[in-house]
Amino acid sequence: MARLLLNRRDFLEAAGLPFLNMLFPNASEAFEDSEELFASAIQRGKDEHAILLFDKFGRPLTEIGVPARGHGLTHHPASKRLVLFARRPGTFALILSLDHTSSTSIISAPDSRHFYGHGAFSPDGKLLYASENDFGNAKGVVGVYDATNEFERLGEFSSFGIGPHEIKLIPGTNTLVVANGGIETHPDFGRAKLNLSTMQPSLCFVDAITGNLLERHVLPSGLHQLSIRHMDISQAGTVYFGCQYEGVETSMPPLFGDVQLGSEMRLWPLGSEVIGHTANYVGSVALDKEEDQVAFTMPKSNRILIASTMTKKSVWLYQKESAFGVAPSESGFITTSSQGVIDNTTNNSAAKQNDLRFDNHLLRLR
Amino acid sequence: MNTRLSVVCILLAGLLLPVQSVAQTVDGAGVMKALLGDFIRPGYRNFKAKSTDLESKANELCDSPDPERLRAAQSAFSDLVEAWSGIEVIRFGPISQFNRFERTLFYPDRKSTGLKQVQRLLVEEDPSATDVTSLSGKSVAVQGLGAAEFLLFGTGHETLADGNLYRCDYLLAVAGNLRSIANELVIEWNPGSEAKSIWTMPGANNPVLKDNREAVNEVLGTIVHGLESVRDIRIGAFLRSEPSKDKPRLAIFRRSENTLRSISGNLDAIDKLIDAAELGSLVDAEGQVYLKNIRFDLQNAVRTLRGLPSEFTGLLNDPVAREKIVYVRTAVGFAIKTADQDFARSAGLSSGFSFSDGD
Repeated sequence: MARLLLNRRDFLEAAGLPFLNMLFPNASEAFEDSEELFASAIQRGKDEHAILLFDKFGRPLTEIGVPARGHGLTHHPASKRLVLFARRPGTFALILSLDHTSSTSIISAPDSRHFYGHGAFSPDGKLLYASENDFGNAKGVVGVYDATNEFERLGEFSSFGIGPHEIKLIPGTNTLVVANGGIETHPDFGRAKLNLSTMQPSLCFVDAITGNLLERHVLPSGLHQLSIRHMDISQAGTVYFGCQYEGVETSMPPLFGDVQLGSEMRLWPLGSEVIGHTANYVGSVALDKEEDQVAFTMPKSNRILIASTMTKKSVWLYQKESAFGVAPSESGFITTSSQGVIDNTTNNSAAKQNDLRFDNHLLRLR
Repeated sequence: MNTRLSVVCILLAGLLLPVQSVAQTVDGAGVMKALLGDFIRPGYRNFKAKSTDLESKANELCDSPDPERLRAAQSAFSDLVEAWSGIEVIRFGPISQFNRFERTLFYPDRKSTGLKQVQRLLVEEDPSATDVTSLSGKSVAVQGLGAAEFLLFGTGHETLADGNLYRCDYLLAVAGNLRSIANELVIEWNPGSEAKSIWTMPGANNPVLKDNREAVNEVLGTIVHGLESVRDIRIGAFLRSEPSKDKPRLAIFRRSENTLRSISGNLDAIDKLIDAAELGSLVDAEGQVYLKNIRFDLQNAVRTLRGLPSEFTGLLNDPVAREKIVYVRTAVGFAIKTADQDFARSAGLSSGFSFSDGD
């Protein structure tokens, strides 16, 4: 079966279709029974973009076309809703309801905003938060959408920095963690970075109910070009983050760190044997199921770092061509690449999808 | 199930997948050396020569102000813009250190930060802006080409011919600052320099380029990002979806009527860079066709821009001229796609540059 949707018109017409009708033939059983299910934004050919769901063997269950390049995803297990956000400066988000009853829907950012590619559900699944750019005022905001009312936009609050990228809630709480990358962009200038000489990244803890700032963590002045962008959060609330450096190429700044609400941010002093193989760029971050290890993908240097959450030291730095997405598998990690390869460290297996590129982020649904 | 979706499951002894890449076997170091010798060094030498000339003309103007010397300084500025446009595409190496790029050119300036800061200096006659050393420590927005352009072409520029001492001394400091930056760039790319070692000798111990493929990647990334910059930042700044939404006042170097000269210079430079780096040596016959297509698009775009009147003011009101600029934007878009996807793939860089910038 070919992809379900190929262009914007088809995409819009498909809004309203029950998700289960979108599964590939013979995929329904696998979808219902699979212990592990993953989702990622993908690109096919030169210009076709979609969301792909697949099982732990890399078998695709459905592929749904979207109008432009997608980026990050978020999921609410209880309500079975899955959201794919457009890559900046995109303005769409695709919402899938992974059950028999609800239908797919699409939301757009308001005229004066665009998405940054990431979002998160409130613990009860009733609200969806999205990192957005108030580009007219060069300010980061978090848009709030009502998941109980067709994702109507309820309002927004400050992200307390420029360029909010990945946002996540500390599990079971209403504390939102925002990685403000610090880089100003404006859709009039494509993806150009407009303030590299003055950028100020931060990592903020925000009360998602009131929108009040709880804590703001900034980097030392010498590291103001270290853009904090991606993270994962443990059940206990420790935030593990990875950065992208916008300064001089020959510098080897610390790219990895952790922070908790109420504690100082820590940048890990990993040696050149690690930092020298990062190309100063971390693409995504994921904890394993036991939260013993955290994985960082580095697509520009074709490496993946597995670090111990206990010691904050490298456990394994290995080569993976164009490593992009990472998510926990049963007893390790599953990774995806922009060459269409899915690796599963649990059973040392790999699957290859032809003519397909996985985007940065991989989400484990169950 | 569609064959495109078929999955090949492979049990691997380890997790390292074999990487078959044309570019891993080619001489990436040779490409970088050719680029350095035939493009980077000559480009920065020309930038230094033209900035020295502007400083000299500004000196003459300040010593004996008159309209003729003002015109000479203005002309020297335009030549400097052209020289900078010819090397601006290089964003790696010494230009990325100490904010040298932003100090040379602060653009886009969406909130007119530079304009406001320069005007404030002129009103307050801050003496620290008339000394090269202290100026170089000020905001990046007040010490480069943007500042020089406002001083020579912006409101009140004619007072330079009447002996406006402060404005002229500030201009002299800006010209000296640009000459100083250009001189540093020339020196830091000299034979025996650290930059030369880093950027032309890929290897496991190199802090940036670990192998030949990363060297090739850097060159292709420079091309793609350079083209994206022209399309999205330079043309995109003023050319909008329809004429009524155009914003000509946001165009780079519009005060000095150097907008099109700068943009055509950027595109011409990328065409020359492709030639200098001998990229054709990396690919097979199909790859060479892609390269030819990229250069065809670039050369047509340059020819189109150079065929337009140099006066940018009011140009967008002429539907024919505007259509030609729309064509240039389209041609640059074609070149980006060909370089980013087709040529990159034929050179063994499967994912493409824009794609590898995941976000």
